[in-house]
Amino acid sequence: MASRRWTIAVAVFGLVAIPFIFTDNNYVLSLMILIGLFGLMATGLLLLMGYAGQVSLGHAAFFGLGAYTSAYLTTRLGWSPAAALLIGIVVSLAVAFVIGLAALRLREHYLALATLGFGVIMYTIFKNAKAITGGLDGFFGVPPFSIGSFVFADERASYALVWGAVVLGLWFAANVLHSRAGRAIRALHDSEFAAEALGVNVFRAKLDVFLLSAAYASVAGSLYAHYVGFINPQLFDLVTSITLVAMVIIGGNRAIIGGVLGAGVYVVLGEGLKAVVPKLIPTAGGEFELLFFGLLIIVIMIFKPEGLTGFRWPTALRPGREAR
Amino acid sequence: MTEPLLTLNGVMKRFGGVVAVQGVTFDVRPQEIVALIGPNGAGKTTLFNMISGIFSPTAGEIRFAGRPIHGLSPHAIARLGLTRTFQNLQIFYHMTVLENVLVGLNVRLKTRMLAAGLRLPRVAEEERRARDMALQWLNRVGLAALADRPAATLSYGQLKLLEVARAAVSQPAMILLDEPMAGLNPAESQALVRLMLAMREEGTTFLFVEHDMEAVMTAADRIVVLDYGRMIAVGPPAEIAVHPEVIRAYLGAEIEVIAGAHPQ
Repeated sequence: MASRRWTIAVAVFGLVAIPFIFTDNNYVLSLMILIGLFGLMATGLLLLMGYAGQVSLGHAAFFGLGAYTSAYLTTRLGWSPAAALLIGIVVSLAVAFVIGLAALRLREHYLALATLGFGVIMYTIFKNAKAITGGLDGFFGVPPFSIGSFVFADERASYALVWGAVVLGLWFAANVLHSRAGRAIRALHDSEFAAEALGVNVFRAKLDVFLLSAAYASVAGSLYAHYVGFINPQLFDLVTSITLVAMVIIGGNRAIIGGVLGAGVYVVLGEGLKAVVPKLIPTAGGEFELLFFGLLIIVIMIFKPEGLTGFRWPTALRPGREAR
Repeated sequence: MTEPLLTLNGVMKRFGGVVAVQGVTFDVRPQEIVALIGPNGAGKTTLFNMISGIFSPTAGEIRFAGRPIHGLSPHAIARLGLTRTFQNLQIFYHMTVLENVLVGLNVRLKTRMLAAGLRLPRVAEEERRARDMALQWLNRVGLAALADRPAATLSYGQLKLLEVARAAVSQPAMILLDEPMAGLNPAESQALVRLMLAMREEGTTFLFVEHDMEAVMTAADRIVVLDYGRMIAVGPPAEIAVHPEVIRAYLGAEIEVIAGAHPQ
């Protein structure tokens, strides 16, 4: 327990130090922001997939719902970004509730297919509901996030905002996992029969964790829209959903930090590939990235199904390991 | 005569063309220990699955604490105070031993997700009480020293006991035990019988399926015998041990040994 507090303290110190180390290197900060945004979303999906054992192949839809709600309310109606983010959560929860009521009665492959279908439907809506979403062009000029008169305009402020949200999200998730609600969620991963027989409403627990993971994706989507400033449907397609699953698999479910780790590996490796591959194979198109991550998932599934958090970490670096 | 706690009336279950359980009628009175025996495939586990709500009966009525429970979902039945263990272990392997027992306390706790995530003071307080209760039960089944170990590291016998602690921690009125002694060594098995007898004194009622006849004869007040889905006998151990149809269907040659071993 003491070593765990120490690890967290070191990690938080490192996060705070980064913008002071890379003072004139916006590239590092922008990568860190991207990792934070994907990490936040992957943390939500980790709760659903890694801890509750329920698949979602359509999670980019909630990322999109958050992003579009924030973009629409701030650019068209002039709302404050904070209020828009909250409405984004409400919209995502409402959609997740309706979808969850139907889809969460399904299991495994069937649930995967149902959520995949949901993702495709939402993508189609983002693309075609031009009056609200701007169609294929999407939204331009989404203002930076702000709270009151403080605008998170530059890279450092955005970094603080996003990683503040990540740390809050991890804290919230860790608290949930070690509570009555969290144990219900984790129980259904191993035995729905036993959980039910002990009085856990399994369907309710599935719905709870589905809603929670949708909220994480929604917040990430809102912050993404404000940070990048423009969004289009392509960002919320099936590839994004699959990418998120890849992050969760890479990071693994042995600790709540798995989603953020997976996002880190994904973003850093992706950047590395973009730099290296065109030099080696000048004719390579954009798909080589997908190919590489596909292979990586296969390798991890075969040799280390618990993901990065499943390795024996040196005590000082151990990412808050649980029994999982 | 006190009102029965559990009543089965003409319970029948059909899977397609196969009638797994038919016309089963018996009751279990408060603080009674009733054993359910019969050859493999007699329908014992099917009956358990109906009582605990995993299947609903094709016909017949199941009442618990005065109200019909057939057709209710398993978690609703558990909330009424009827929990169970499983013949083929159903352990939460990704959790610690203590956390497994804490899932059993789910019905007694109140924390919902938002309050849990924000770690409100009352959540921490409830969590502390829950851990105390869970540890107390781990202590009773002799697993307290292993509380923080991953459940996956326990032996088969220890996991059986963990299931008992998990089913008992919410202090339900009645517990169904599906072959609790299977895989236990004689000492563990005797300890479990003693625990059942002690819990009965504290007010718990048991219905258990078991093949270990010594445990059945020691623990049970009454025995229900199933054969090919039908109830062929019900009565106190001494009566069942000499019941001609039971001997023919199930006990066979073993009977002399048991009748001799059992003082009743």
